[in-house]
Amino acid sequence: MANEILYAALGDLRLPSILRAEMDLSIADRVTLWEHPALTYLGDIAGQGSDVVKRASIGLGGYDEMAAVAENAAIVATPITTSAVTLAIARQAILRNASDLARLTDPKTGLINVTALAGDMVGSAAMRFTTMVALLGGGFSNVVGSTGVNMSVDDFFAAVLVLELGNIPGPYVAFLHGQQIGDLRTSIRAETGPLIYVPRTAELIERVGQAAVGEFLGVDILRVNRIPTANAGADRAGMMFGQGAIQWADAAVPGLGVAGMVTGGRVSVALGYDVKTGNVEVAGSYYCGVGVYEDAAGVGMVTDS
Amino acid sequence: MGVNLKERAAKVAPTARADTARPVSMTPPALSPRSVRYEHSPPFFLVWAPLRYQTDAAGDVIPQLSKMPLEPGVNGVDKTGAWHIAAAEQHRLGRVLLTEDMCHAEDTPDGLPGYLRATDTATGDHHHTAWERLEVHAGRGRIVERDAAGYRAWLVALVARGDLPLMHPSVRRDLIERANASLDSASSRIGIGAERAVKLVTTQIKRLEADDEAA
Repeated sequence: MANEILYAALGDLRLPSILRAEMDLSIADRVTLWEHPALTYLGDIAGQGSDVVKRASIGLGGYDEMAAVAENAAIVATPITTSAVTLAIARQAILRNASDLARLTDPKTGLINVTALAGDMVGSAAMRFTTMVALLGGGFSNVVGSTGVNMSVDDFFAAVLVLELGNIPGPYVAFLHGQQIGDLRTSIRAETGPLIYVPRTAELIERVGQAAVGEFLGVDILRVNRIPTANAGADRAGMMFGQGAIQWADAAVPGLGVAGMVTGGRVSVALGYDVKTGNVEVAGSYYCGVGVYEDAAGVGMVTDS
Repeated sequence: MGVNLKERAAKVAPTARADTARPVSMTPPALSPRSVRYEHSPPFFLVWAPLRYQTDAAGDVIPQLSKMPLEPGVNGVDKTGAWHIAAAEQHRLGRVLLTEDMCHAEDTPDGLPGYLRATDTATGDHHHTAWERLEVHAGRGRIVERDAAGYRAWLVALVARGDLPLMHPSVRRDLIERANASLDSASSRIGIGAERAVKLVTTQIKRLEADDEAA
């Protein structure tokens, strides 16, 4: 046989590959902690005269109790206890720079266009916020766990106890690295007592978000793989905390109302065009700050990574 | 018509040999960390909080350090990266900020002074301690090589030099109490990891008690 029509000979008529219309997102940790109820939001501080917000606490409402006083004895004034923690907001930003050629060759379902790139800014800001919260992992004075030793049920019990002894109001929440959660599950498997690990439920997800992986001892567990390392990389510095441990604030950028600044708001997106290179620039900005407010309201959970 | 196997083998043999040729080396090649997306890790100060010690697997009690990230917007570090507010808060809590000059050249595996290192990655500089080395191997992803003994030796040296205070005896007793509670708990477990947990905690308690008596 000869002169068969073979695919191998159709180089002029066939493509090396076709681009599937649906595009997958690259795998990444996309846990967002925005609006999480365990984090105290100090609000939008724009238009108030500073980029630093100071939150103070005062020892009233039963902080100091009365003392017994003998008859005819003068009582001594009790000083007021106060403390304050400041939070500075800073710009977090990302820039995309796409050439005309990259945009004009983008198919209808493609994502190299101004709309898609601008929309991505919200996701980038959310992930940035998650990273900033995760960086607080090692920042509490109280800590449980042993370096190089897997997280166990004991560590979890110890962390809850530390918070309870500190009069920290619940409910508590734990931000743990995936490795720590896996080790905890393994430890629970070996328990003989009536301990119940509740895998994530629709109700839990609704309450604390997509990062929820389960509930143990009444503590919501969130998987945050951005949790930093500790002890020269040997461990992960997860954390468990109650109300008031972590605070955050942000500031919305006022919109310009002219061509170029597309939006104002929490995450602002601006457009620009470089006529010399033929590149369009999409810039996203988010002004925020996170920090530990009440040191005693959190416990570091440092266990093997 | 029969197939001439010899002739056919001769025709395909060169190709077959090329396809099935054994590679010279089976070792996966090392790649540059620049090709990998490491998690974001900003520069940091190492910080010691009062009474913050830990027991390692051998039962030795060593200081436990945490990181104060120098990241604008985190814990009071401002938009310019100035960290005086963050440092003041650490001092208010009675913590010790470990400066780079507290880590001498002889303390680090690379022989350079200071404990902070940075590796260039696809997502920017990844900051880590001098006792970690980031490597990437094809097929195995990222690997972090750690010098755990070197890091531990530096922690011990920090106390010996007076950069960190001597441990209060009550800390060891607290750790013994906690380890005993862990032993009770571990002894009641069965199955995966239970035996190892008992062995580990027993080793820790023996060492802690021996050190307590010696002190």
